Amino acid sequence: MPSKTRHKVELLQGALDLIVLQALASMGPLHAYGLASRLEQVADHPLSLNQGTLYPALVRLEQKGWIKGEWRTTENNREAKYYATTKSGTKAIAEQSERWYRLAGLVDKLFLREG
Amino acid sequence: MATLRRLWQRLRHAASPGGAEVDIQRELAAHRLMLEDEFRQRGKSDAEARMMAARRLGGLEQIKVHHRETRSIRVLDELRIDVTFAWRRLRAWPGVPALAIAMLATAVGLSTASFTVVDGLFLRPLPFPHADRLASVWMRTKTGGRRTVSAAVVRAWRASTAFDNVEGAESGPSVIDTASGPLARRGANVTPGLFDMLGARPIAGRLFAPDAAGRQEVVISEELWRAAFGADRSILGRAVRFDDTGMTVVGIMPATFHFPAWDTSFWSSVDLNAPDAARMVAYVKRAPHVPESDALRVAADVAHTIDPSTAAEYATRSPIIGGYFDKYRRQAVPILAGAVVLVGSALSANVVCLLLTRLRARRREFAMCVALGASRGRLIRQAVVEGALVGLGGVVGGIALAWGLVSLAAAFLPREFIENSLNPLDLDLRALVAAVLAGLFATICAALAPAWLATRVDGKSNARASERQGTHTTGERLAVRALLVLQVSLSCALLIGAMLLVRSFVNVSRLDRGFDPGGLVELTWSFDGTTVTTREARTVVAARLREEVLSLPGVREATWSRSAGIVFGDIKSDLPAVPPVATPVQVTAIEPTYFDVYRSTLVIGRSFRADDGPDAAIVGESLAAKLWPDAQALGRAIIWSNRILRVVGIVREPRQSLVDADRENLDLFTPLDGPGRYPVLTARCGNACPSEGTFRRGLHGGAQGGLVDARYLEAEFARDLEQPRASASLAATFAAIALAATAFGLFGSLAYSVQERRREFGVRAALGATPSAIAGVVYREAAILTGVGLAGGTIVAAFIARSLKTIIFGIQPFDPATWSAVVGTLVLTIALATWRPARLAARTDPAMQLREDG
Repeated sequence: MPSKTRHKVELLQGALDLIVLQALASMGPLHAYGLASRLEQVADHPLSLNQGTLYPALVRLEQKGWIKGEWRTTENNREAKYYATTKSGTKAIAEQSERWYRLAGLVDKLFLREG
Repeated sequence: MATLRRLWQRLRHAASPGGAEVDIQRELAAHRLMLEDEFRQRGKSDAEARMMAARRLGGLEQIKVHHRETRSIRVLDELRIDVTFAWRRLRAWPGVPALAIAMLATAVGLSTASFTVVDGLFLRPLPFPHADRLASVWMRTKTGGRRTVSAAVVRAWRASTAFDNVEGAESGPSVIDTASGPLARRGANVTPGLFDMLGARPIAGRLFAPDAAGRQEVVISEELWRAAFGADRSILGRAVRFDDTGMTVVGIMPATFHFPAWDTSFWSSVDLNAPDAARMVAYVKRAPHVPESDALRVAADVAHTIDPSTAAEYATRSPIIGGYFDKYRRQAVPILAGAVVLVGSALSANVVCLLLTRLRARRREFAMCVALGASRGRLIRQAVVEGALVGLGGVVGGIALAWGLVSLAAAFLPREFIENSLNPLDLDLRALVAAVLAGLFATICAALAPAWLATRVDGKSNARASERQGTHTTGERLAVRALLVLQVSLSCALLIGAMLLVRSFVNVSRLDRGFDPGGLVELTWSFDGTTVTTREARTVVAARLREEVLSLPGVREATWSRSAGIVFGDIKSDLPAVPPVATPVQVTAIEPTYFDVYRSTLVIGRSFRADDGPDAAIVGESLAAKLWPDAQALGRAIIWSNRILRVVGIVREPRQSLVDADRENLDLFTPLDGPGRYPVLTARCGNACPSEGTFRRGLHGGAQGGLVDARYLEAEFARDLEQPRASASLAATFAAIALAATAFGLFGSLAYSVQERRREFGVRAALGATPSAIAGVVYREAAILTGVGLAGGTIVAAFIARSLKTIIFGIQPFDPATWSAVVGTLVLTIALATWRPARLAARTDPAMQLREDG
C-alpha cells in the first residue's frame, strides 16, 4: 500500500476546479465518469482522488455559472448528466490560468532559491 | 458577480434542496453503472465489478454530504432539517401545540388590539405639529361658566407675543341641498389659518387662501363628499346650497380630520373683521418659551381691555379636542383594559402550563437522545426550533387576530368614541412587536426547559425522571398547579365583572323610561329676540310652527313645552317636618297635551286642563316621595320661592338619558304660560319621521324662529346603550375566553397527569380500588385546585366589583345571585373538563398495565 500511494499526486486546494474547467473546455461536454476517466488518462501519476470527489467541484463551477449540466443519453444508452463550459466559464479559464501560473511561478522560484 | 451568484444558489439550495438531492442520486447511480461496465469489459465478474466500482467512486453517503455542504449553507441546511423534524413532531402530537398556539394567538391579538385602541383614543398626543402647545382658550366666569370670545378679542390675542397663532371656530347645524334632498349636518365657520395651525391638508382641492375670509367657499369632509356627492371629484369648483346660500366647494378634507367636533362635515371661512362676526371658540398655539400661566394671564388682560363685559372673568384653557370624557368612558375603558391584562395573563399561564405538562415526557425523550450520543447543543437547538415554531404559529395567528379586532373596533365602537381623539385607529406596531417578542420568548423558554434539564451533566434527577414511571417531580407538579390555580382565579374575577356588566346592560335596556320614545322628535327653537318680543307674538309664531309641523308627512301630534330652569334647594313640602329638596329639580312648563304626546304614565290624578291656573303642578313620583314621604301627594301644596303650587297629578318621571341611569330624576311640571324664547316642540310621528333636513327646510315660523336642535329620542336612547352594550359584550367575550382557556388548561393537565399515573391507578385497581374511587382521586385534585382558585378569584373579583360600582345600574356589586351563578358556572365547567380524564383513570385495566410494564 505505501509503495502505491508514494507516487500519487495530492491536489492543491482550488486546483481541481481549474483542472475540471480546462478539461471540459478542451474536450467538450462530458459526464462525471468521462471526466474522471479523462483526468486519469492525462495524468502521468495516478490522481489521489475517489471519482466522487469531482462532484463538489462540479457544483462549485455550476454555481459560479462557469459550466452548465444537462441530462442526455450516452452511447451505451445510459442516462448521464453532461457538463459543458459556458461563455463566462471560457472567460474564467483565462483569468484562473493566469492566477495559477503566477502561483506556480512563485512556488517554483521559492523552491529554486531554497534548493 | 460569480461569488454573489454562488451565494444566491447556495441560499436557494438551503431553502429547497429537493431537486438537487434527486439529481445527485441519479448522477451517482449512473456513474456507478458506467464504472461497473468498465470493469466488466476488463473481464471482471458482476460481483467484482460492483465492488470495484463502489471503491473507485467512494462512499456514496460521504459524497452526498460533501455535495450538500458545497451546494448549500451548512447552518441553514441544519436549521431546515431541525424545522422539518420539529414540524413532524408537532404534527404527530398536534393537540397540545395547537392549543398553545391558539392561546398564544389570543393573548397576542387581544393585548395588541387593546393597547392600540387605548393608546389611539386616550394616550397618544393629537396628530398635530406642536400638539403640546395647542389649546382652546375660554373666558371663565366666577360662577364657573365658560364663555366663547368675540372676534375683537381674537384679533387682539393675535397681536400678542404670548401666542404664535390664534384662530377661531364656531360650529352649528346647517341644511345642505343635495340631489337626494335636504341633508342636516354640522359645520364650522373657521378662520382661514386654522388648517395651517393644525397642519391639516386636503385630500383633494385646496384650503382657504389667507385673504379668503368671508368668501362664499366651503371645504367638505370626505364623509360628506362620499355620502352626499357620491365621491364625485367634479364637485370641486361647483356651487352647493348651504342654508340657502350658494357656496363653492374648494376642497375635501380626509376622513380622519374631525375638527372642532367629531361630527363636523364642512368648513366655511369667517371674517374676523366683519361687524357681525359671531363669538367663537379661540384655538391658540402658545409661543415656545412662554409658560402656560403667563399666556393665560396675558390673554385675560387683553380680553379685559378689549371687551369690558369680560372684566370679571379669567382665561382658562382646555384641550383643543377630546377634552370631554363622560363618566362611562372614563371608568369603563381602564377597567376593560385591565380585563385584557387579566385575560392575557390567564392565557399566558395556560400556554406555559400546557408546555410544562409535557415536561417529563420530553425530558425522558431528550435523556434517551443523550444516551444515544446526541450533543447537548444539538438537542437544545432542536428544542428552541420547536418552541419557536409554536411561538411563530401563535404570533402569526395573533397578528391576524389583532388586525381583525382593531378593524372591528374601528367599525363598531361608537363614532364619537373613536373620532374624538382624531388619531386614526391603526394597528400599533410597537405593541405588536412587544407582544410578538414576549410570546416567542415565553414559548421558547417553555420548550427549552426540558432540553436544558435533560442534558445537564449531572443527570441524577434525569435518570430518575426517565426511569420512574410515576408522576412529575414535586417542583414541576407545584408549578403546574400554581398556574392552574391562577387561571381559575382570573376566570372567576373576569366572569364576575362580565356578569355584572351584562346584567347592568340588561337593566339599562329594560329601564322604564316613563314614556314611549318611539317616533318622538324634540325640536328646540330659538325665537328671534328682535322681532318676536312679546308673549302674544311668540304664541302666534308657536301656533304657526305647530301647524307647519303637523302638515309634514308622518307627524301626528305635537305639543309645546319649555324648560323653566333647574331649581336647587328651593322647593319645599307643605309638611313642616320635611326638609327642602337638596337635589336639583328640573322644572318644565307644559301644555295639557304633553303627557298624551309623550305617552307618559300618570300614576294618580290628571294632566293639566285649559282652565288650570298657574298654581297647578304635576310632580314626578320620586319628587313626590321626597316631599311627602308617608303621605298622599295629590291635592297637597308645594312651596317654591314665594309661590304655592297645588298638586293635581303624579307622573312617572320621563328619563331623558340612560348614560347616568342611576341618577335621581326629580321633575316638576307647571302649566305653559307662553312659549318663551327657547321652546321645545315635541312631535310624535307615525311610521316614519321627517328627516332633520326636512324639519329645518320646511319650518321657519314665518322666518321668526330658527331650529336649534332636533333630537330623535329613540335614536338617542339607542346611542346611550352603545357604550354599556360594548362594555358588556367585550367583558363577556374576555370572560368566555378565560373560562375556555381554564377548562382546556385543566383538561390538558389532568389528562396528562392521568396518563402519567396509569401505573399507580393500575396498582390501586389491582389492590381492589373501585373505578369510582379512582375517579374520585382525579376529581379531588380538580376540586382542590378549584377551591383554592375560587378563594383567590373572589378577592380579585371583589376589587373589580367595587371599581364597577359607579357604572353598573340596577344591581349591587356583591349581588348574591350573580356571584353564585359565576361560582356555579365555574364549578360546572371544571367538572366537565375533569370528567373525561377521571373516566380514563377509572377505566385503567391493571392486567393491561402489568403487560405494558412487563
